[in-house]
Amino acid sequence: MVKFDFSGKTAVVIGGASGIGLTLSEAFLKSSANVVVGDLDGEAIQKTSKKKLFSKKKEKTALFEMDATVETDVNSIMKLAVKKFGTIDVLVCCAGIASRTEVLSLSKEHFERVLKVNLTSVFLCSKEAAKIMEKANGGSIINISSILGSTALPGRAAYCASKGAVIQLSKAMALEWADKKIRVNSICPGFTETPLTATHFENKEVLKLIEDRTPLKRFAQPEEIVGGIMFLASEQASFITGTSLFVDGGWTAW
Amino acid sequence: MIMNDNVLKNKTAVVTGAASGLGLAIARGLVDSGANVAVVDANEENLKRVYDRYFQGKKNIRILTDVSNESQVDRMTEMVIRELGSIDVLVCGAGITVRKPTMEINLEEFEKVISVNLTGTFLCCKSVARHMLGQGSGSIINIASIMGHVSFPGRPAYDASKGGVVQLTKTMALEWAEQGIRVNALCPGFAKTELTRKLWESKETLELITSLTPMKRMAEPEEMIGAVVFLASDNSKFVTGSSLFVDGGWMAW
Repeated sequence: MVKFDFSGKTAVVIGGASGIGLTLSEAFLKSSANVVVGDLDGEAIQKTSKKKLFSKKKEKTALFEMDATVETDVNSIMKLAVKKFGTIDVLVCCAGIASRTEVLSLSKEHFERVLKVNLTSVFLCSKEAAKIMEKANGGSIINISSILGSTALPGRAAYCASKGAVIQLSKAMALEWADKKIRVNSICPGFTETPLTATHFENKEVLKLIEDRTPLKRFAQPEEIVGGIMFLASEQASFITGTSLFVDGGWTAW
Repeated sequence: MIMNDNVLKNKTAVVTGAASGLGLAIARGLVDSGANVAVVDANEENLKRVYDRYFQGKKNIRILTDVSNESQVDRMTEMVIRELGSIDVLVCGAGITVRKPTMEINLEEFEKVISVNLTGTFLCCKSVARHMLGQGSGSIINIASIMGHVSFPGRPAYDASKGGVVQLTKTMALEWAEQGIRVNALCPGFAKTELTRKLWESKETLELITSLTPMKRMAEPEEMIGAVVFLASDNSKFVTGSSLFVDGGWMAW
């Protein structure tokens, strides 16, 4: 992946200890940013902190076990970022869970759980980060939606609904904060090889279906999603706000 | 540049409409990113002037081409291959507009806009992709517009042509996905260029445009560079058939 230069910038990555979030946290570190990683998974946090890159750049990192759906946790990680690094320039909301249940067997509890993790977390984190960004020189917020935020698939109603809402929420915040120099965009990955999609690789039929449906005939690698996120986070995207960047191997072109 | 300056080192890029406006800013940005650039335009005087000013002395060439003329386009492609060896990136930036409402624009004006903006894009993509298919790689970036997705009263031909570019981009992306060629559309909002001079020189129109743009300003042409370099580079390896909006939030409401 092409290297960006984020020296002197601070990025908060929610869900940053696994999947796309972890690859992103590492990419920010390699690009000289300060990185604050929040994740629900304490074990993943431990594992991440022991990674070579993280232990080597200890003074540039902060890892925090937190639940992005809990307001006090969200407040704490933002405060931690400001305390350690002065401000927040970039927020990326990667926390997310999959949901593969058809509507007729989908319980209210399950539906609300998916919305909470995939959507409410974005609302809470963006809101807290924006309060800090508006006092500084603005910032860039990138929320991970999905191709399933704009097109749907059967059997994933809760996921589709939550990701569609992330796109719309991102637009609403982009409009509200445009004059505060806070840009808000969503990124819509296609199927990507992460722990979240691991089960797809166990089922040859599903795997083939997804690959056939993708014009590039393969899953994305996390690095390929990260390239788009880093671009949106950078000054090179200075006129980009309220949009969705599709990194989907052509999925939504047909 | 925040992205590595040499992200396109040893790559060859063709930029049409490169003698002014967004095309010029993009061509210069590609040079800054390390690419060798074929600067293509239909306006001989402008082409010569900008070439001498910004592109000379490096491995860049200039080619006078009317993108709506098939034999000129094919000749352009051949010349780039001959002089620069290959084509890795194509940016179709040639575009014109006629600002007249549907009841006032005549057939000739309508067809002229379509032939440059849409047919020109088709011809350049086809001609260059023939070469890219041979090498099994390439990235094509077509400059569409927010007006390829939404519209505005008073420019039927322009908006139709840009809508056509968005869809054509998707078709080509699908046709060539397995051969290693990515095709994407860049959709700028209103940018401060020669093409839009009449708009931003009128206080009233400028106010209307900026009030409709959430960021409350027009884009500087240079703000397109990052997106083009992103789409041209390996950073966007999984991006194809998509529209990238650089519009200050226009499409969000």
